[in-house]
Amino acid sequence: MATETVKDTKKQVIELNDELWNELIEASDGAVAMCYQCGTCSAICPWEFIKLDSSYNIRKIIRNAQCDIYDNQEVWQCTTCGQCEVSCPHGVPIVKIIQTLKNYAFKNREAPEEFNSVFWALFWDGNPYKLPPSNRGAWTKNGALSEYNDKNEFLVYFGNEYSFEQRSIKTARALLSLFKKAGVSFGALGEKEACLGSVAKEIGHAAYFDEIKDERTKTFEELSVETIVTISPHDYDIIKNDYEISAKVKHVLEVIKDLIDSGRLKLSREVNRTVAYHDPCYLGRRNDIYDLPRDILKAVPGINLVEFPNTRDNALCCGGGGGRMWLETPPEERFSNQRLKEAADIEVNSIITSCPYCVINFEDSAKYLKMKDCQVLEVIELVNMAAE
Amino acid sequence: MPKNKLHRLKAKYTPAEAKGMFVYLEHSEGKLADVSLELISKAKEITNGESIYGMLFGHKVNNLAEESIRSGLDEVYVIDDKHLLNYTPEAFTRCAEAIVEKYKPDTILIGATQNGCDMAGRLAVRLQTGLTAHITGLEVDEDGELVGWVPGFGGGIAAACKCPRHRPQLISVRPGVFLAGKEVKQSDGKIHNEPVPFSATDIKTEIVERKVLAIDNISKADRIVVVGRGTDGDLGIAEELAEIIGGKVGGTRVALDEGWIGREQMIGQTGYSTKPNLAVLCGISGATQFTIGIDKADLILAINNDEEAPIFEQADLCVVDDLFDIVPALTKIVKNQISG
Amino acid sequence: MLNILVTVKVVPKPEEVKIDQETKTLDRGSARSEINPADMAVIETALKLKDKYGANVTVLSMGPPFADIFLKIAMAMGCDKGVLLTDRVLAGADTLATSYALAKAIDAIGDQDLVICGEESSDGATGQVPQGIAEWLDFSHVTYATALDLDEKNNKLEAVRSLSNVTEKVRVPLPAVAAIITGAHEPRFMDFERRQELENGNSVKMLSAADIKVDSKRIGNAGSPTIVTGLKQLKTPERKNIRIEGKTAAEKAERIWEYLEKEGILKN
Repeated sequence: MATETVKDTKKQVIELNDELWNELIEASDGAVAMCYQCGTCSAICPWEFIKLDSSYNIRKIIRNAQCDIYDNQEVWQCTTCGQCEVSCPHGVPIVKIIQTLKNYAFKNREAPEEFNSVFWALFWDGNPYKLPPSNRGAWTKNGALSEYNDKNEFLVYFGNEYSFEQRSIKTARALLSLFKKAGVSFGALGEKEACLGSVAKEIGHAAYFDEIKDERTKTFEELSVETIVTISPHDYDIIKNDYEISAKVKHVLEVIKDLIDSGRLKLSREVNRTVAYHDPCYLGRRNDIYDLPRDILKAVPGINLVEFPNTRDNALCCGGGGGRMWLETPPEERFSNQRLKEAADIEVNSIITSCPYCVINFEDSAKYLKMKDCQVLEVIELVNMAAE
Repeated sequence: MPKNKLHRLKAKYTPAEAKGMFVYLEHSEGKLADVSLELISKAKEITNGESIYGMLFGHKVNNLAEESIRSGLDEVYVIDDKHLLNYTPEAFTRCAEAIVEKYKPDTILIGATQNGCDMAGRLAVRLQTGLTAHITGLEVDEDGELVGWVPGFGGGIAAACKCPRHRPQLISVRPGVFLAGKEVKQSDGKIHNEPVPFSATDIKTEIVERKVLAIDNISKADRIVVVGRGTDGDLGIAEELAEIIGGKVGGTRVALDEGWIGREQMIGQTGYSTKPNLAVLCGISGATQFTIGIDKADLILAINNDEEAPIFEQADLCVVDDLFDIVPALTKIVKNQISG
Repeated sequence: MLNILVTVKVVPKPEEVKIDQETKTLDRGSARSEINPADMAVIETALKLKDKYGANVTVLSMGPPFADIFLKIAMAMGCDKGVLLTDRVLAGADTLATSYALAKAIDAIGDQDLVICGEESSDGATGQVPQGIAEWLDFSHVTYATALDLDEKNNKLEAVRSLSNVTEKVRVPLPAVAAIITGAHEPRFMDFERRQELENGNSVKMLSAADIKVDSKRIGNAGSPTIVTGLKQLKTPERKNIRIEGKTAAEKAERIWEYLEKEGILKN
């Protein structure tokens, strides 16, 4: 048996990456060390449903990190849905770990180039769609949006989708109609509105997100606004959990619930449908908002609300988070297909949700799966249909 | 900077010493470029009966010189050499300079094609004169001077530009801005063969490879059926309609990204600008990046299932319906009308 | 080591520029500024060559003093040096005077092997400046290039030119000026560590007209053979927005045909 004499006993055989490990420890408050490699996360991850033996293996990613092996190839698959965290027996903040690994890739210039055009769009135009910032209020046509002033009840932060994306603009119009019916006085930022940075943060570019956050914080503080109402759960999550501003932050569903409870909004028109509510990851798992949308839906006369088998903190992610809205996913691999199939299984053809990414993805899947009768609506739209 | 390139500060010659409007004749694959014919026509109109001249550089291009005379030029100055078979900046700029030195044109109209612009930009500095570029309108003002309208800011604003003292004044014109006239069958036009003003070693650009693209891009199409996201890649009905109306199929960015069309068919900000007589927009929502490539159409017919689609604001005829029903129905009617 | 210089222009967002109806001049006061979108591909082209061959990349712009923040953006992407030519006497220049000033600046910076420019700028959109710079400097030039490469052995630039009906591969001797087609390359994003470093320093070199030894007769208004005598706002044509009604697709198609016939659209 040949043996090799190791001349220099101080020579390391594996390159240990202390820098990365220290970052992970800091980011997770030490919890990354708690992973004992049970593999529950990998088993429950939606990728495993999409492709058996998926190359995306959370257990392996964390194992590599624990052994200081830096292998970032697969982290870009993560949609930050958090399903893994729900089942992890040791409460490891898996999503945070994945995001730290993504950020590490950005710092070392090893991130996928596909994100460059999104970043530049955010940088030059304040939105990921490369649309002129001066067009942000254009969807309101006849100036139905007024600029925020301190006599308004609150400021509505519309966000990228509700300002620029065709399908989401329909929901935004329904919201305007709803507010009008309830006599709500609100204002918006108009052209001054710009992306809050959830796009950058979810993609994993922490430094760019910090720059965006600083700029937007200035805008909010200058306005000295009391209450900010957000519509997209991604905007809600980031401004509630990552921004440090003096204003109170509410999700639009909270406002709608108040309007219904106080009688300002009268839901008198019947909407006779059987609907199933889909919990968006950024409202449900990430912010524990499960009952609020259901309570609102139950107040709509004629509604028959049923539950998906995979519901609440087991909701099936639509695949849009983590920056994946800006990446190409082959149609047969889209997470949203799973939810559509489930809807077909329980014979429900109205999916109600409260997130623009979910709506876009479910409508795309309905087209792909040729499910012509399946309709996807937001809670806002349904409430507007019922309101007089 | 090379000392010998510090030209005279003053204009080469004054407007009083200058003579005539010249058209720089461009050609490709044995044919005069459409834009050159358009410029001859405009030159004739704007000079109101005065003699107009051409300059033509190439190899074995006598037939093109004759065609340009038939199209309305009174005299053409030709430089013919094998090194002028394909465009190079050095050879063609030098040829233009030589004609200018000898004949002192007042104005030179140049088609704003890529090679036209390539040469015009270098020539302007060579001659220390003004170049009014990419005009979309040309007129004579009350002082009898030429004014060119130059668009800027994404086409939203146009500036009136003049070149009062320097000669020759160079003006480049976008293809399709002016209309080509009919041939006038002028028989007494003169063709002058000019000496070659350069040697082979003056040419620095080596053309290693040259591929002529078989497919014409969508920008010149007179009737276009444009496919968007709503067609879902099902191009058959669009192609049928395009054929029956004698038009071409174009597409949006989405159609290109999905692989339903090729790059030469894409219309929009990063694609082609079109000016068709009729545009039929199928399943298109109306994002600005698309509409700026089609908004100069004479008539826009938009078909979309979604009543709120922004495209309807930019259309003349608006059909809120399923394109898979409307497009075949329209094809059927047109077919019947043509045969009946 | 190769010396590459890229020229960028800081422009107002085109859709935000208006005409002041009273003075008939441009009102770009409230417009946001950006790097001319065509120039982003230019920066990326230079950085790709830097990655492949190693190079010193200088980014040059001619503009008002605040343009330095935009040069810092290009430097955060990877350009080594930033130079801003800023001087009031240079204002009011047409393309001849502009290409002259830029050429003088490039000459003053010295020793450049390759100058890369954008195809055209979103404000003036004349597309003449790159060839003009080449003529002033007695460099060779290539326009409408989509890809650049070097033939190091022969000190030449190889470029693919994309014309409307022809694709050419050409070779020109260095030093050369290349004009890149808009969107030829997707630009890389900034390196944020570098961005932080640049934020704090005076990393952009400022040059005045005197620094680059211009001839006063060739700059600004004096050096501009062309003048602008008026402006007009171009509006896209008003559309008729006629809603086609009908109970069936066939009925609607019939109505469409009637309209087309009336307007003489499908005559032949």
